[in-house]
Amino acid sequence: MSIGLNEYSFLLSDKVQELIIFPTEQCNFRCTYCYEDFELKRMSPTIIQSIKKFLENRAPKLNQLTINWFGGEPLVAKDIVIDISRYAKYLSRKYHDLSYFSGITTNGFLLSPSTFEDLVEEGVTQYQISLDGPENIHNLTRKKANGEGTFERIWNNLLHIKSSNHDNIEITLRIHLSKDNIPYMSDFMLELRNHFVGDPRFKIFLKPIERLGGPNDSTLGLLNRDEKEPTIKHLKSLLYQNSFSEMNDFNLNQDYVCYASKPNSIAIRSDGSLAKCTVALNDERNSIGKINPDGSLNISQDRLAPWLRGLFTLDSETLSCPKRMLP
Amino acid sequence: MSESKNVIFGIEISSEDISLGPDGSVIIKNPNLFTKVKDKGKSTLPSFPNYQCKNENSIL
Repeated sequence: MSIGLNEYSFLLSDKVQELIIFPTEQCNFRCTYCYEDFELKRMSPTIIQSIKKFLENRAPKLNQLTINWFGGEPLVAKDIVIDISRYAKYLSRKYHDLSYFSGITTNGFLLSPSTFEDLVEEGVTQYQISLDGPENIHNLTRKKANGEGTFERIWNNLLHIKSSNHDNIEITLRIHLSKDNIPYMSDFMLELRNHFVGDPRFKIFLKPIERLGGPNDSTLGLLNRDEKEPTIKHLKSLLYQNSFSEMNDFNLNQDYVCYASKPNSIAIRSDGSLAKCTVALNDERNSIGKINPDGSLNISQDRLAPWLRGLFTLDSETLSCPKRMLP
Repeated sequence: MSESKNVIFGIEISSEDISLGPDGSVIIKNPNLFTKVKDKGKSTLPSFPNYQCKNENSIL
């Protein structure tokens, strides 16, 4: 693992705070490979106030605050996203040493032009939106809870974002790959190329789907280990045709350190419980505490410590995914 | 978790050296590491948020 002292210090710094907030764990989609159970509902006003108090207490001591919105589908609870984001933006203006960044993982269906403008206004400038292929293929797997397709609306929302004048935004298009959609992906790469390649605000991330614990895991058509690399290489050759690749390719750094490996990163679930990993949501080892009404945190140090073990070994596999082989 | 010790940047540290305070602050108990981190921790590098696991090699 090639990691310098400065980067290492950054991972440990108490002047840096990352929050991953689940404003709701409900979702308007039922993607066939999803691992979430949608048990938890919308965040209560008490938890929202707790988070604001946490931020109020923490902000004067910070140089950097990053808030990432996750769910469920966070835009199902758009008002909560806006409310807390507005407060974070206020704090960043109040404390001049504090830089504030914010991003959201959204399925894009509710990311209408007006909602997009509202979010950007409150500092939410980084977006991750998933697509599963061309419309007829995407709609087989990324379906609304009522079974309806979702592609057309997401695509139109993306085209609006592309037409906007905002130059401080970054959109990661996460393109899922499976045995089922690969036959249709060549043409889809050309669609993506025609619309988004060449615009430096858009990054394209080709991601084979995985078994993450959902009810349909056994029937998912996963690419095997030997297929992944050549498939991605081929699709990238169609996507970039040897141009613009540096501008638009989402390249995961070899030295990627997962947020779950960092002590200064905490996930706050919609019921106020605290977690490290956003995938292992039903694993009790991932339940590291809760936020109190006064904004303080009850942390189980014994539950927290195993997630941080990569910082003591600098093992790249552990740092990039501490869930792997978690004690 | 059993305590494991390692030498990182010439400083022996263990999993017992880091905890989180009730205000969310990172508490580093090893004074040598703490000094270095405090010095370097003033950096305000932008960070791309990885809100969903993006590691190609990850089990997740």
